[in-house]
Amino acid sequence: MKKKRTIHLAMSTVAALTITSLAAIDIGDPWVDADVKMKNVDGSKVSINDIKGKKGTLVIFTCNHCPFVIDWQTRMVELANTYGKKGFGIIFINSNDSATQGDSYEEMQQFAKENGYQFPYVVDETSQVAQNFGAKKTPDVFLFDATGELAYHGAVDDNGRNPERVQKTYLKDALEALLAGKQVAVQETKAVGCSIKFR
Amino acid sequence: MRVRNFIFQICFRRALLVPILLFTYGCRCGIPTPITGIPASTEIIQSSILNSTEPLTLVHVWATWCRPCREEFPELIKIHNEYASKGLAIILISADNPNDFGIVETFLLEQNSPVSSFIATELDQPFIEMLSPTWSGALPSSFFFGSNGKLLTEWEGKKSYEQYAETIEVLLKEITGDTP
Repeated sequence: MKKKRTIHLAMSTVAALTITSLAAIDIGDPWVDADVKMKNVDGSKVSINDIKGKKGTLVIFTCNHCPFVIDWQTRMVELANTYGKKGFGIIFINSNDSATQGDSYEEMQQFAKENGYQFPYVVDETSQVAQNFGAKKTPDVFLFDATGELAYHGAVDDNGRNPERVQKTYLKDALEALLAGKQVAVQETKAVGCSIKFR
Repeated sequence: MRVRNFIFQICFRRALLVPILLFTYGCRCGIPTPITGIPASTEIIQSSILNSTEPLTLVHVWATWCRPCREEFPELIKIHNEYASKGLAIILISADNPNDFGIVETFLLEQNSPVSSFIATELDQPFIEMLSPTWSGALPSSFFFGSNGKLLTEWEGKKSYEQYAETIEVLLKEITGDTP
């Protein structure tokens, strides 16, 4: 009994050392920070509420240089541009400290232009939007339904490195489900990503 | 196509098995083994964690292109040098592309790393959940396993030598009942 208590005490000490922030939004939760205005690459100020779509809203935390972002970039932009025309609001958010190599505002403008963004790519100036969403890495996908409730959170698909070996197109399936007015079948997935460089 | 993939998988796995076996055998017999990057599947990495012979195993996921990972790396080497003889094993898992094993090897040699690193061939959900169901997948991340492969604690992000040391001291004391 004494030994058990000692172990519990030790584990509490370790737990105190372990820093893990809980996800702020779970499936079914309403979005947060929807009225926060963020600077877009075209110079305007945009909030999630400004761009919300009739079918749903896609928010992706991303950046310019993370190898995982680069791996998924073509697929993310293709989905965003395609479903942006089908009634979805689309916004890509960069929450990295702008001192991070490759993530200055000017580099974001260049990146959006080179990659054919047809949607806002905005700066989360305090990283607070990412914190409040519970986003920890790039890319991190949050798809909300028409009422602003989280319908899907996770990865773009199941193979960032090899597009030709993708077997599960999670985000596309979730977008299609919302488009058809159905519930998303796979609501949460995970993939390795670059940690957001919080300010 | 299926037959070709099957043959490729067999050859690839066998090719990987040789350096892994040499690495494991060399470590156990005290034979110095060359420091390198070893592409490995989730299955192989899991087996390595489960077969760790030390009471405490620190599994650290990193990448050569990840700035906080690079900054943190010297701290991990100091941790290895201090605690390897006191019951701690370190398993490094790189998230670099397995085709870039040369870059991983160069980094390890530049850092005078005393241990080689696996390079994960899969970075998908099964890989994440094999390490921890609560891991978001962000790099760098560290996981502490007991000798039975039980996850004791974990964290995401860069930590200092002191933060690693404090956790290791507490866990080793809990496991062995002695102060390291």
